[in-house]
Amino acid sequence: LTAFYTTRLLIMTFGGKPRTAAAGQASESGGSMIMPLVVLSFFAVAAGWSNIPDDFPVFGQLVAALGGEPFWFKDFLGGTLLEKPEALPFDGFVVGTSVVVALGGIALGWWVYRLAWATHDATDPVEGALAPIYPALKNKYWFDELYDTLFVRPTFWLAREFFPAIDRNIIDGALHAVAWISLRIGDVFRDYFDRPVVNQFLNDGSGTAVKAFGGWLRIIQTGRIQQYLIMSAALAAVIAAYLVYASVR
Amino acid sequence: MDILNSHLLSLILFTPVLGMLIVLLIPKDQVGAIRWTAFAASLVPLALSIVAWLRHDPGVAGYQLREDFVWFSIIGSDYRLGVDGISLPMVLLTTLLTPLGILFSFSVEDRPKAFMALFLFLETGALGVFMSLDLLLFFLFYEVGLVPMYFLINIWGSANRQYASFKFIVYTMAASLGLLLATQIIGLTLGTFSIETATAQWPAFAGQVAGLPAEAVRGVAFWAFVIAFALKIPTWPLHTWLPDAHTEAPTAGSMILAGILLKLGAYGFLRVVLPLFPAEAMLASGILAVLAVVSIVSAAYASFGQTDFKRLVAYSSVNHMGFVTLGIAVAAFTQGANNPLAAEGVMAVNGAVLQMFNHGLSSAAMFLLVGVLYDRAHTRNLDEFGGLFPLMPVYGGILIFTSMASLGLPGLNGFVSEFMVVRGSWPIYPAYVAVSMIGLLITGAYILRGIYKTIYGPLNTKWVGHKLEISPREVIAWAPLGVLMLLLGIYPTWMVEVINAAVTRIFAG
Repeated sequence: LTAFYTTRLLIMTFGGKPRTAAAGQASESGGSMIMPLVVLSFFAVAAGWSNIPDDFPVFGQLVAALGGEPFWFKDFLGGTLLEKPEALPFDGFVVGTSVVVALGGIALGWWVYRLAWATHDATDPVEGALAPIYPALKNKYWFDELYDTLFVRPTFWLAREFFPAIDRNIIDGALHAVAWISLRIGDVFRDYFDRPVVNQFLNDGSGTAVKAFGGWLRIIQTGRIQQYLIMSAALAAVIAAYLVYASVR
Repeated sequence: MDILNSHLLSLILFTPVLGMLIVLLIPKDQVGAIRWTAFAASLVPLALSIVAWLRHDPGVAGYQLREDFVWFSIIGSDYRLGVDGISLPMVLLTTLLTPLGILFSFSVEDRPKAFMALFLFLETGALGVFMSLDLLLFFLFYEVGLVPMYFLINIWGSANRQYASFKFIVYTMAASLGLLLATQIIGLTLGTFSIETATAQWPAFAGQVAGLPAEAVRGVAFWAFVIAFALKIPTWPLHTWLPDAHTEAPTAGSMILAGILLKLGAYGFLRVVLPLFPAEAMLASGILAVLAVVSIVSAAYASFGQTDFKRLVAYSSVNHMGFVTLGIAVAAFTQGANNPLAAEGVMAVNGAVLQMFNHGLSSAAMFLLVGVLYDRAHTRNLDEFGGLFPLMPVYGGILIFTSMASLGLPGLNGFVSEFMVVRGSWPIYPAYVAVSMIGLLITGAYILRGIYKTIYGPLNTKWVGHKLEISPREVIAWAPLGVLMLLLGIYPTWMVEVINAAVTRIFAG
């Protein structure tokens, strides 16, 4: 299957005529992209040889002849283990099977996709052949959707709805309720004490009383000096009488 | 320089007030002179508190650089100052953040004179709390800090500032009523407001207090203190003033609010609640731990759900301060001589104090960066940004660095302190710590969302052609925070040693 999908990838990318205008404009990349790829491909092809068995036909001898050390990687890694692993003998059947399967995958891929995607909106030939399970493959077994339902959306719900609602509605709601009650208590004091008692009775009332008293007192303000002298003399007599009474007692 | 020996703390405490008076004497159209005078005045306490740091000897027990003067002897309250390994980092943090906030506020055009004067006054309020060794003095400075902050939010805040400033001051004042009453009770009972005397005598005080058994009065006083300080930290469910106040405050106000004023609550726990009420604190430690975990988790989610960048950072403060509360809960559970878990408690409290300092750095820096963006764009809505990195590369780099510190990336400061708290809490509250890890996960999510929504993603083309890049003055205001974030991330020992010496002694009794 790896060989099959890799062939699909190569044919989709490089095979056939350009299917879109943008693809027709594709150009070769610069050295900064090619050089790292060259280095990586060298090791992709050659790195496996560092562990080639010494009895592998042709290649084993080739590595040895080039001054390499067959099974180098096994020795390198095996040295770190408690017990040095035995070298497995060369098995032609395993090698043959894997080569045949890989080539078969490439051949199948080429055969399925050799004529596919004449246009950019053509369907994948496999979509028809594997109709019952194709949606599962296409959607990666819906794992993203599963994660979305299980983790992503609950997180967003907690973050955007649940916790802000607790802060805003319950906690701040309680605070605002306290503020509302305080304001109403203030209203009660204003409407039933400050305004009727303090303003009307004490403030306005005292003003009225002072005014009434002043009006009454005005009667004696005649402006005649003789009357004032009489009043002074009368008051002095009253005080003198009181003082005499107090000292005698 | 005899005065530097005898009155170092007083000098640190009152130079800002002196600076404020000088600023007030400058004619209001001399804006440049006002700004530079305020900045220069705020550098003096910074220099002096570095001197204080160097003179402080972690090996010596008790409070250092002491000043004791008779002040209000008729009620037993005196002018007592002193610092130890817990308060000294807070003093340094305060004197560091104030000049940076003032430097950032050079862009304030509306009534800069009043702004700078209030800002300097605010510094004295905060410093006084961290230096006081007298409960009444402590309360006095605790309240002094509120007033300038109210005006800073109310006058220079953004759209919803009336609501936010009113909520801030009324809520805090209401909670500190209990603080005042409890302070009075202790002072009247013991005949002195000295924190040291109270630490020695109050926990074991037996007999009648105002006609009531001491046990019951202690219980009530304990909760009065806890409510006042938990609101200031803030701990869920007393936290809702914070997102409003932080969001509406001017940038420098948010820096000080998040950087320093939140620490007053945590500091109150460490300096007053735990030493004065060890038995009550032990009983309540489970409740505190639960509230801490709820703060961590709920604030992380709430932060993730915000579309206002500043509100996102504001909720992150509740989230981060939750770890401080968790450390305090562990301390409440483990303190006392011969407690077999004391080692874990010391670790957790060291982490909590360091977290206080670290959160001061990273939250102030985050608010500064949000302020830069708001200053240019006049919006904080995350949905209106996107892809700004090419337009403001320097800002982008600084934002990523600061966000990573806030997120707790190993190698930066936040990781060290949160790890210490978690490490110290794990043996005592394994289940709570496990739940708080959800908060840590969401912390990563909301921080990355903040970065993604602003500088990454598809470019919002409406910003093309705008001048958004951070200015050199703002970079300078950020730089000391950035340097300390890195320094404390790589080599926290220089600060942990100082904290640890004091914490270990407190645990030893």
